[in-house]
Amino acid sequence: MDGGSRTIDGRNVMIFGADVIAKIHDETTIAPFLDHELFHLYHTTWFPDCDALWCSLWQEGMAVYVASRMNPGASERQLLLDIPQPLPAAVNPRLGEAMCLARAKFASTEQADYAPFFFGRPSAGPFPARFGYYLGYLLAGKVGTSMTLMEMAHMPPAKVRPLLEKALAEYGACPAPGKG
Amino acid sequence: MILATIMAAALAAQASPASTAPREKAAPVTAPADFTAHTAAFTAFFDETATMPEAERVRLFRKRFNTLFPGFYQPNGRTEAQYDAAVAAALTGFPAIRSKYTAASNAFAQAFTTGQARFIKTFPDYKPTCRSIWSTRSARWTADHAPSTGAT
Repeated sequence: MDGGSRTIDGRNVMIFGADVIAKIHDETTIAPFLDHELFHLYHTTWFPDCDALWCSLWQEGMAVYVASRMNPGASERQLLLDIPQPLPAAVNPRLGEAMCLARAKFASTEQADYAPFFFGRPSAGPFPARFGYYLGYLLAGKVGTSMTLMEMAHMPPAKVRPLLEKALAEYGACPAPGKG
Repeated sequence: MILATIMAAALAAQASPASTAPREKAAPVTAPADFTAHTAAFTAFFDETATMPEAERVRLFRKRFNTLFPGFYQPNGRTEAQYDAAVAAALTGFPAIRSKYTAASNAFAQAFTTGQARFIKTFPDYKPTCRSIWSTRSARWTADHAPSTGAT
């Protein structure tokens, strides 16, 4: 873990792992990384944690998107979209398929569905580990064409969900369940 | 993620009740959140116990660091044996990363201070208070939210 938060003995803390920071960050990535983590902290005021996949798509996508907006021209590396491999290059050729997978699992609260999207460990799925960060980033970008960062950050789940569904639908039709 | 766990620099921020209510009128931040680093303590421990038998070293680590940050340096879902093994592995592997670890540790406090100041410029209503975390979600998030580099 390079960064995250926990409640320990009733006290809320952000945790930064110096060893992982030393391994995967440098002077060019630390600012976007902190923007990402601080945004998570900030965001929960309006968007509390929830277990459905779409919640994570929004939370993580927003954190990457905010980091990109706060660091114009930030590279994939700076946004950590290159771990475990460059995600855009791996996902873009089948982006529609990836978005359909997100639509299919949209409301799932199963960890088995969540894991391929966001876990860092190797995935047996059709896309690289952590590809949900990239999808979320793209979806946030679509939503962000019509509102400010502050407006996006302040949206409660009830407002986010239909916007996320609309953004996903813009990637095209998906196979009917059972035909994919 | 034992390496991260062991060598965590912890930011302890004031807790606030979970709330979904907008806080759009919140006062701007005037001071950064508390910041506590445990990295130097780890390095000191590593040097001080370098010649100690592994089992004793692990036991002492757990005792000392659980006092330093109660509730954090614990198995958290793993068995005691698994956690002990992870602590031992982290200690064994430390020399290989020590140089970069020290550099990162030395730079982080300033980076965090700067980062908070930058963040407030974009989100002026940011308050350095942490959330209450749903247990299932937090367990998943803290374990796997961040990129894995084999340190888990």
